[in-house]
Amino acid sequence: MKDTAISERATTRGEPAGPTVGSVRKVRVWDAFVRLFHWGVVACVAGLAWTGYLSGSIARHFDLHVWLGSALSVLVVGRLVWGLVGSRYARFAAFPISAADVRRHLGNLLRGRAEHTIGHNPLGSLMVLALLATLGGLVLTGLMALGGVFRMGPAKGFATGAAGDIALVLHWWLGLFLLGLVALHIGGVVVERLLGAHDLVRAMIVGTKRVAAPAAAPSRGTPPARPAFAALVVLAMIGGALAPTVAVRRDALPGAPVPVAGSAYADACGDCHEAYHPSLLPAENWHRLMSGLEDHFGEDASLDPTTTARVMSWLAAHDAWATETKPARHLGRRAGPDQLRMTDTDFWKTTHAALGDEIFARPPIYTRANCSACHRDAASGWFNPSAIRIPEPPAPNSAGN
Amino acid sequence: MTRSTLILVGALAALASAAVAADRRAIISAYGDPAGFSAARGKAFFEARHTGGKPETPSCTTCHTANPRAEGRTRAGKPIAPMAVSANPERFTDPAKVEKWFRRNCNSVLGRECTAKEKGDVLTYLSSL
Ligand code: HEC
Ligand code: HEC
Ligand code: HEC
Repeated sequence: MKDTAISERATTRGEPAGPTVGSVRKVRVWDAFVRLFHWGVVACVAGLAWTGYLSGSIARHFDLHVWLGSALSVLVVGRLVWGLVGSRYARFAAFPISAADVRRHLGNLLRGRAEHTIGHNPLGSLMVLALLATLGGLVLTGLMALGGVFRMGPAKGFATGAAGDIALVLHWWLGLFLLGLVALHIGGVVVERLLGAHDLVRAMIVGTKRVAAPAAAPSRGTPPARPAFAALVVLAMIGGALAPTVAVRRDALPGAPVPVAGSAYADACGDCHEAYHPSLLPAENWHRLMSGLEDHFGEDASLDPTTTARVMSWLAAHDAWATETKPARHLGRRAGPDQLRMTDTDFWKTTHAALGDEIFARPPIYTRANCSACHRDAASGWFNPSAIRIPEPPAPNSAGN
Repeated sequence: MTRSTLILVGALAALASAAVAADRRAIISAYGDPAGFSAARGKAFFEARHTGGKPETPSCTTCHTANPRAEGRTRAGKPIAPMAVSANPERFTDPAKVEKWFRRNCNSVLGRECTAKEKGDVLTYLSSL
């Protein structure tokens, strides 16, 4: 039988290596949570990698990315707690990662011999720890970016824009690093399989491994798992993250974009196009624009002097430097002194580069300057990625006649 | 609703629309004797292609379309409510608004102010539809 053949070469931690001909028994090694965690992480990471890198537009899949990230963070927190109070092989303390363990495992690998550990083998354990640390880093940088850049989630109350920007760069690189680790991890599983050790994938699905009887050393005083305690900790963490997410209103944060509706500005500048949010340009640019309303992008948009002055001071008070949003910081503040159009800025051109001219020209969009046609929250100034919907052109039969 | 409230509401609505019509007449009269204005001249002016203004806007119809009962559209893609009073009873009831847009639109289309006569003709035309 195959299992017997394998067990003849068994080299098990803490057991003398050597042929062990005899009974083979099943050991329950991965409990339900560890397996749920493992495949849950696989699903989340696949979705996160797709939305984050492969889809080509994180902005268009922002909600999905955040939801998957939230699910992942619950799984990761759960696994960290389970590593402390979980079942025998799930505990970090049981991972065979002493220098001697690792040296022996490497030596075995070089000689082409498998290592029949019941739990994670030494290199596998190191990989699990590296994966968990990277996932944890991704969760933290993700939350900081969400809070600082988009002013959403549990960190929105304290994460600054600059911190969010840095976190986002780290997040991007950590994500690639994670994918590299995943590749190594899969490679390791394949090598173990080729060397004739356990089918690790099957073990992670069914939860049991078949091992030679002597290898299944009796539990050496591992305290019992404490699932209720672990669940409580996880619930407390979820509550701790949800409370500030819900309690802190984004529009009440310092630097929140001013509402435009009802302002004298909306009356004066909202007839020919939406009243663009004041946070999209710096005060100096607004000033230049307001000084040339008689020739305003090919039209006369002049106002009486009193209204002009009133509108100008309102724009200056709520300009890009007075507002802490992604569009204010990345688009408005970086507008060149001569750029009176948001659509001329580098940021705008880069973010919209993938959209062809024909999209902007078609009804009901008609022009690049029709921000609110695609950004349903344009009036609020937030320009949140999840509010982007590119409208379909009207069906030809309904548009005709 | 009782009959008397219905009558009251109806009377108020009639009063309001009469007041609105009076406002509009007053706005037109401010440009001259209404008898001297012509809807036909107003239509021709409204539909003509003018020179002297900004190249992007050669005609009133660039934005308002040649059918004043239909919705128009600005160059920035925003819909403009119909200009014909019959399709949009709120038209030409606020003198400051009318003046603001004549100033802007005439400058854009013709490169100059419109004359009082041109304004009176256009308003007569758009009120007559
Ligand atoms: C008479 C019509 C009209 C009025 C009134 C008007 N605009 Fe404009 N505006 C335009 C047109 C037309 C464009 C060019 C749109 C395009 O390129 O599609 C434009 C473009 C802009 C742009 C650049 C948009 C971009 O990024 O391409 C800004 C900013 C702007 N307007 C600000 C204002 C402000 C502020 C006011 C109020 C003082 C105002 N506008 C009033 C007609 C108008
Ligand atoms: C044709 C639809 C369309 C129009 C019109 C449009 N946008 Fe966008 N915008 C998008 C799309 C789609 C994205 C996401 C691009 C991507 O895949 O990263 C985007 C992204 C953005 C972002 C970045 C959002 C983020 O956080 O990632 C900002 C800011 C923005 N647009 C501002 C504007 C402004 C200001 C205007 C008007 C001057 C405008 N957009 C007009 C479709 C549009
Ligand atoms: C560039 C686009 C554009 C052009 C060209 C244009 N208009 Fe307008 N016009 C508008 C917009 C926008 C409004 C404001 C519409 C509203 O309030 O619903 C307006 C309003 C008006 C109003 C005031 C309406 C009211 O309710 O009081 C008058 C009168 C008017 N236009 C006349 C003209 C005339 C006459 C011409 C040609 C000389 C002209 N327009 C050309 C865009 C234009």
